[in-house]
Amino acid sequence: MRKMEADIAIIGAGSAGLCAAIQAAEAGADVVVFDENQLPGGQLFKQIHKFFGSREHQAGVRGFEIGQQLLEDVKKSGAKVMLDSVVYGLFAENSLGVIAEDKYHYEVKAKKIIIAAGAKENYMAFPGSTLPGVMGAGAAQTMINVNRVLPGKRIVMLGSGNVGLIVSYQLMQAGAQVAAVVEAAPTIGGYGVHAGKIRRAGVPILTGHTIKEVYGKEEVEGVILAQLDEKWQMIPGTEQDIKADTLCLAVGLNPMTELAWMAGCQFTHIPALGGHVPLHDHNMETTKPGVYVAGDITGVEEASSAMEEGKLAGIAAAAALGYLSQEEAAAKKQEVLRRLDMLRTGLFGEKRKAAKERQMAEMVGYQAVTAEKGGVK
Amino acid sequence: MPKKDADVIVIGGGIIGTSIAYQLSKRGKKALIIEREDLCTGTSGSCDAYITPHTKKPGFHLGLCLESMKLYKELEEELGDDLEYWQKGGFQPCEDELSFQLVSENAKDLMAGGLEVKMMNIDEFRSYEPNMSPNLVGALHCPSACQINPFKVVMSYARNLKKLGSQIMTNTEVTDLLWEDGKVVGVQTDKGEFYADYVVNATGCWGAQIARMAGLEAPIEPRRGQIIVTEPTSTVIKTTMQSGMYLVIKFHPEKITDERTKRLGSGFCIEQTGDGTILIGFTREFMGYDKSTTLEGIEYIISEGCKYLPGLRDMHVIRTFSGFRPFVADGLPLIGPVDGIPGFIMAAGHEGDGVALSPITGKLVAEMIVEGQPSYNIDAFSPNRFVKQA
Repeated sequence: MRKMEADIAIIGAGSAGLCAAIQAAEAGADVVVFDENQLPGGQLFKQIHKFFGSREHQAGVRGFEIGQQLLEDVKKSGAKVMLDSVVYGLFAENSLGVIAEDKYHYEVKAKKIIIAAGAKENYMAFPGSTLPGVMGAGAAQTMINVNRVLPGKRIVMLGSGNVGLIVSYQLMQAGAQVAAVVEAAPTIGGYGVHAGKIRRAGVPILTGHTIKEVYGKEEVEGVILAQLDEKWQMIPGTEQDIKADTLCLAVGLNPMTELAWMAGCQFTHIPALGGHVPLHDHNMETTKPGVYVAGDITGVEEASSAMEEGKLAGIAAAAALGYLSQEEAAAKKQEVLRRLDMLRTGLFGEKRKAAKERQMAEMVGYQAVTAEKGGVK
Repeated sequence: MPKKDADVIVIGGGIIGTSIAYQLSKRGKKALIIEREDLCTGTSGSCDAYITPHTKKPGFHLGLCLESMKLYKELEEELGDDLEYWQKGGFQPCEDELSFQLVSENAKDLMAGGLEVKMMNIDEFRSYEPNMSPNLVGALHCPSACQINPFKVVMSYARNLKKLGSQIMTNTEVTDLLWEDGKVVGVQTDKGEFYADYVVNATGCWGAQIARMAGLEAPIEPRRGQIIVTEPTSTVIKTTMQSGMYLVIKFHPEKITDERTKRLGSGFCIEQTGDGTILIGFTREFMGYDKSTTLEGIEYIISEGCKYLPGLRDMHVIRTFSGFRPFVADGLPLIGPVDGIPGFIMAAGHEGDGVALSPITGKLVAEMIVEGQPSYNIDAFSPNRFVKQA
């Protein structure tokens, strides 16, 4: 076992992790970022679409371009990025177990840890759901936009949230035919502008429908849909058979919380944020002192908010180590919080904002209780 | 005494407590299991799954294990459930001459105790287990060793005892014992008082705390074992294996010179489950009730493991966990009534043998309660060996 030390160790080189690294390293902290993937940037490099929001949030810029900018900034900041390096465990006294790119086993001791592990796709089970050809929409997006491989020729997409809509459009751009977008809810989940693009291309969006089964001998050959009644039960006799070789599931994401559980962080369950999420304060610090979280692990949102949360965690961790004065940190944090607040407006944002507020209110409650008991052990 | 809630209260819903309650139910008694957390959440839910008579101390200990194995053979049919019982045989591979010599000496005692075992040189051993390292010295083979799924055993006991009219209360913590005229007549819990003719302490690692409520100082300590789990693979090993070093650590700790082995008390133990995952263990550490895994422990298990099974290098570890084993200084469990504490029966302190000894412990404790006498002499396990003479 080899030893390594750092002021701040960050797990995940996606939007949140890289932004945290830039802030902390620019402040002067010795920062190391680990990512199990061979390329940094997390999901950004699959995102060939333009971002929304204000100019401050890089609206109009495509995701992969934001990723390239982040990588340049990381390089300038002096933070070290170790790719192909799996952080498999978080142990007592802020020790990380890492199998690094060089295949050696490292014990990494860090004064502060930021977990920015992201989220993973939800799965759904139905007859035929294990057939080759059934895959996550995110997986399909990686195949076309990163690996340049078409997952199938004729595709059915389940889920009309932004992921389902955007990936459907990108699959068409990549040369596939999208037979239908299927949505169980009575209305389309994602932004109207994305849905409009698909509709204009002639793809039906079937709301109030679900997958009854997928059939095929060795792989997907077709999908049987059924209509749902107001109690979300399939209506017999409404089945329709759609020939397709691929079914993509865009049915939400859930936070990758394993390391935070292992660290002993306190959690709460908030469905609007994707399930179990760690409690954290306004500095993104969890109930485990010195362990911070940022990005989708704190609740599934978007790359823009993940980046802001990452900055917040990076600033807070660097300030806690004395690399920023209280005034400097406060000014920087205030700026980030203002932008974060703006991101959480609008029909979709308000819901997330309420959920995030509940999460942080629970943190305050937890701190009050532990203070009464004589502080965190 | 107020109205009885059951004939017997069994504290602890692990593989020992559920076995006792099931055996009592079979004999017409109503048992009430009181479990602080949930069924199978203590040692029974965080252990290996093998039953290996060749790792028992020749004599009473081995004898009891052989009795238990007879019961296991019939258990699936009796309970009507698949328990993943699998008589696959076991080996005790030896990495050096010292452990080979100790294992060979022990083999003679085991055979004298009625167990069929055979010492094999490395070539013969590898004809059974070709994936094991050619650098080992040899191994002891025990064809009767078997494997079982402890979760399934506990759940099946629970289903069956409920069918027979007994009850289980989970999330209920015993806070004290209730007495009448110097006799234990029930338990105080966070959900009220419960009364019965007998109270059985089947709380394993937590056995000392309950025993103390009865006024008995039972020397049971939690000993942490860390275990790692690999991804499912095709069959890599066909048998259960515990290294000869396991025996050296268990019975001749004074012969260990390596500092890390002294500290972590590891020995190579491995088994492949029915679904293909491989469990590799484990450390033996006294850390109180700290259930975490450690970097040092995991690395040690893996590096020891690779020494015996070089192919481990290319496998992925998907999980690590640790559990507590109820360690008793003389290596034997405490089973039976206690002098001067009528109404109170101990059935705890099985250390690494809880799975192996579950059926026989249940049967004998039930016999003691129902018939007043066990069908097999277990004086050697009497808790009275720890009762201080006034």
